[in-house]
Amino acid sequence: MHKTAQTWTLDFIVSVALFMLTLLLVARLLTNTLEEPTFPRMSRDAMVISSHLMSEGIPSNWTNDTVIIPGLLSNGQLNTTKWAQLHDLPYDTLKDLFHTPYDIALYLQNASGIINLSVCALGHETGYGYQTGYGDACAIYPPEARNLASVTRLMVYHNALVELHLYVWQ
Amino acid sequence: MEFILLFGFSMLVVIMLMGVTSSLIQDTITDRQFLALRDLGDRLQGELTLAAGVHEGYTRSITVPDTVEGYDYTINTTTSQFTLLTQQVQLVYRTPPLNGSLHKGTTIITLHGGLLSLS
Repeated sequence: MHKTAQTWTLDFIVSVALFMLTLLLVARLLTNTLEEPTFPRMSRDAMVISSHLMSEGIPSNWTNDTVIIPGLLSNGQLNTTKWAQLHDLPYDTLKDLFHTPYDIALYLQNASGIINLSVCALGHETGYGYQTGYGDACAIYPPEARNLASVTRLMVYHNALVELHLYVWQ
Repeated sequence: MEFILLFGFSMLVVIMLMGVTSSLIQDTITDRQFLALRDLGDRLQGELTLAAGVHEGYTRSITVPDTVEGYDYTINTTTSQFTLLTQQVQLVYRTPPLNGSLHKGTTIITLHGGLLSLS
């Protein structure tokens, strides 16, 4: 076997591979130690956002100019004006108001299906896909994400129960 | 010559790995800053919205920390919002109408004439 100088290529490749593997493991361990798991945070955000939405918001008669924290209820019932106002907020503003780094989307549903109050859903449009429109044209496709938190809350609208569905994902 | 080539290649690999590791650590730091700032921002916004909704003459003293979990930050206040800033993170919080500004240390919140005053 011919050896050039003091270096053996195969030995060198194996040692570099081992070194890289070790370095990657150390990097992974380091970031795993520092980093909090994503899903619990996403789940926490979903709960906080849905709790805000299940309130009157701040101030209680908020408009898009005065809103501090948006909520959908008035006198314990769904206020469709607030729903429409929330829809008029740009998506980035909506995320900023909830201070979440994740994507969000929400819609309302009753026993008959998705309630279409002039819009099918609010939030991220391309990430989870929904058809806007009227009547049967409304369809919701949950996002295909690696991390996804989903929350369902109940509210009252026209003396009937309505489900608020909220998706938070990365 | 062969040694130089192999050594150069190994150095390149090490530098690339260090770059990736550094980026991962930076992301983690940014993430932690975001969480720390958000906790503080939520608390301050809660104090201000609560103060705006209670009785005339309400006064409360709050302490704004110098750092959040060891990270230095800046706080800017306008009449309708405050902003928390680090080099990587910026969070804006809307507030009821304000007179005065939030600052690190003790801030006294007073509700007078329907307007929140900070001093």
